[in-house]
Amino acid sequence: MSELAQLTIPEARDLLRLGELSSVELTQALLNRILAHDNDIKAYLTLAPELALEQAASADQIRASDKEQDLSPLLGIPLAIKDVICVEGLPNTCGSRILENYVPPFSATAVEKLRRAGAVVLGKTNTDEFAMGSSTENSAYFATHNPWDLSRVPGGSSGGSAAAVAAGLALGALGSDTGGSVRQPASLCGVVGIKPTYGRVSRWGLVAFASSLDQIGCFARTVTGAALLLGAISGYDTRDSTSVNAPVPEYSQVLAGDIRGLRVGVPKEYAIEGMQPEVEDAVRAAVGTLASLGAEIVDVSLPHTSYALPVYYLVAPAEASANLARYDGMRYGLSLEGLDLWDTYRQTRGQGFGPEVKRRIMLGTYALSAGYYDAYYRKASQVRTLIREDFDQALAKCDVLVTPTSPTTAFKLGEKVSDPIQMYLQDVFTLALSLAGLPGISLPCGFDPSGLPIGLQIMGGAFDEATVLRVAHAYESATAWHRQTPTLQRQSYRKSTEATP
Amino acid sequence: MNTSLYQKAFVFIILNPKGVLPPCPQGQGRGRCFSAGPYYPLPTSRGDPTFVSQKNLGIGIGITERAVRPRPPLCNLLPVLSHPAFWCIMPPASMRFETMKLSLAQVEHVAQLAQLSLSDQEKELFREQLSSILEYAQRLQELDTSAIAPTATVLPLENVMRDDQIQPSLPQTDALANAPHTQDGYFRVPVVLEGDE
Repeated sequence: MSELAQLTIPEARDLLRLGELSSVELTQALLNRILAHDNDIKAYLTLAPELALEQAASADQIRASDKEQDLSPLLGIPLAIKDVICVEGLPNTCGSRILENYVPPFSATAVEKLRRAGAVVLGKTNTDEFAMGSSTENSAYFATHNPWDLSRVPGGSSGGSAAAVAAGLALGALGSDTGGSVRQPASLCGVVGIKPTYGRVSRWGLVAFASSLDQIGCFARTVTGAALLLGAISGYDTRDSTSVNAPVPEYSQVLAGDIRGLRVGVPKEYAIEGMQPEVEDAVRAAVGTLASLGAEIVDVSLPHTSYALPVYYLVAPAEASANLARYDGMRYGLSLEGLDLWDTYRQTRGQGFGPEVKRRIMLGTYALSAGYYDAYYRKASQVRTLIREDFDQALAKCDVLVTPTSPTTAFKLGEKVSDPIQMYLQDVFTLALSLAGLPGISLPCGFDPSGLPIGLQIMGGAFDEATVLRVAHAYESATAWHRQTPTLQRQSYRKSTEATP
Repeated sequence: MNTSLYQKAFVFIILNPKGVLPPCPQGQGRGRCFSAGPYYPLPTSRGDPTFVSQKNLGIGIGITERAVRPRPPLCNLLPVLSHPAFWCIMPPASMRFETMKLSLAQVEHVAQLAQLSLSDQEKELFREQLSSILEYAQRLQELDTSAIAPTATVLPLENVMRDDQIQPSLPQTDALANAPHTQDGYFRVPVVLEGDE
């Protein structure tokens, strides 16, 4: 049964089409695997087995009755959804106590589109609270463990989705990426994760963190799987005025082309001090592989890269402090009665939010407060313009940019929890792209000596996900990293938890 | 740390004749400003002026009165040290950030703006952590952005119009399903405005 769970989305699609496998069988295999292993990995916050089997049965029915029709490639494919993306009728906690009992009465547009394509929803995956974090340790419920080494983090904030896909607890998943929250966990878990251009996917039903940066992204074990998911969720939505009415290419069709003559830019600023040497070596080797496939390697510069971190940690908290003002205990979520209205607000929010969320609300409120707005928020927004211009200039000289996704492989649980800046540095390679609103993908490009996956980030121009996917697919086809899967080691995890007090 | 700050400053003043010190701007009290160069005042949340130096020297961020250390007795003994210009000296890099820490009152003020109740421990923790994050963010002051337009969104946003037509919406019961308190089909909330009936 466990081989079924290791299928990629295109493999499962083909077996389902041939009638060699039913969606119910596949879904049941995944549910069994989740029951066997999710106690160790803790990828899921909510599991919906009955609903999933019901959806799988109806997918099988559609396939049986509509034999002649052009059926969606995602029909009957079991997926996981990050717990910041609403699925009607399933709890949506955002990894926070303040939404512990919140059950959304509607589904996000991206989820609606997946459901319309016939995909099966297995459950909701763990996340750093309100997607604020880089390790999934900021979840108010529990930390998720990396399937490659259970004593390590899966990255974050979409760590539950990345770990679920890596461990074969879902064939694909949705996450959200504000500063790297899809790409960095994809890198640390050795799977493919794509963040599309800002505006490509509707944010309706995605709980807002930083509205000028948030985008829904996809996880899969291969580039083709990610392309299929992205194709299904992309497009204009009248309910999100920041979604863009641009044509959506058939992503799974654009992968095949070769990359001869394509210009691949290598930004010199991404060779930073403190980067793990194996990461640097693996990415250098990947650039060599792309060159051997006929790509032209171009040296480029993104001179304001080092400012992306401070810009992000002013802009995102500023937007978050405004977005999270809605949690007031009146219409939904936790409500703690205080002495008066104001005390009710303060008690509800003070008890309901965890430390990282409070830290960012405080930071954002300060950056926007009278007297500091110009020095912090406005200054950061101006430097954001410089960062965007860097990308415009670099992408005039090349078609895609290639960098590491994360400066290190997965770190130990607890290692960076107490030092916010160390944790924020995890996103040093992903933030600039988010600030520029451009698309990026992370895919496996090697392993370090401890057997932990290394991620390669490929970034592209606005609404040019097709080229990003094509380069990623060419690299993936020339290498075998994506074929490696973690051996789930329940024993070693028990030992290591016993050893830690 | 404090002693070393003043020792270093002392050495610095000896090596730099008074005549070459930059003049301190009008209205700037001693002990209020630790960085050289052009200044512009920024009102703090408490209304008293603090100073942030511009561009190149930007790392010497302004401080509020509460954050100022007591001046050492040396100041009373040596007139040169109590000259306003002395306090305008750009401190050596090693001590630039020592005065940046937020005050407890500032942390409490921000928590109030954000409607968050914080424990004493949290206040102290955030005071430390926010100070160091803001200190890190000071790197942005290295850049001259005087001619740069800010980016609030990467999209060229336009107004989105639609016909004023009734469309399906959430049923009232669904919209109220997550509310902690409801009454007669409404959200029930605590008293907002108090006064005579």
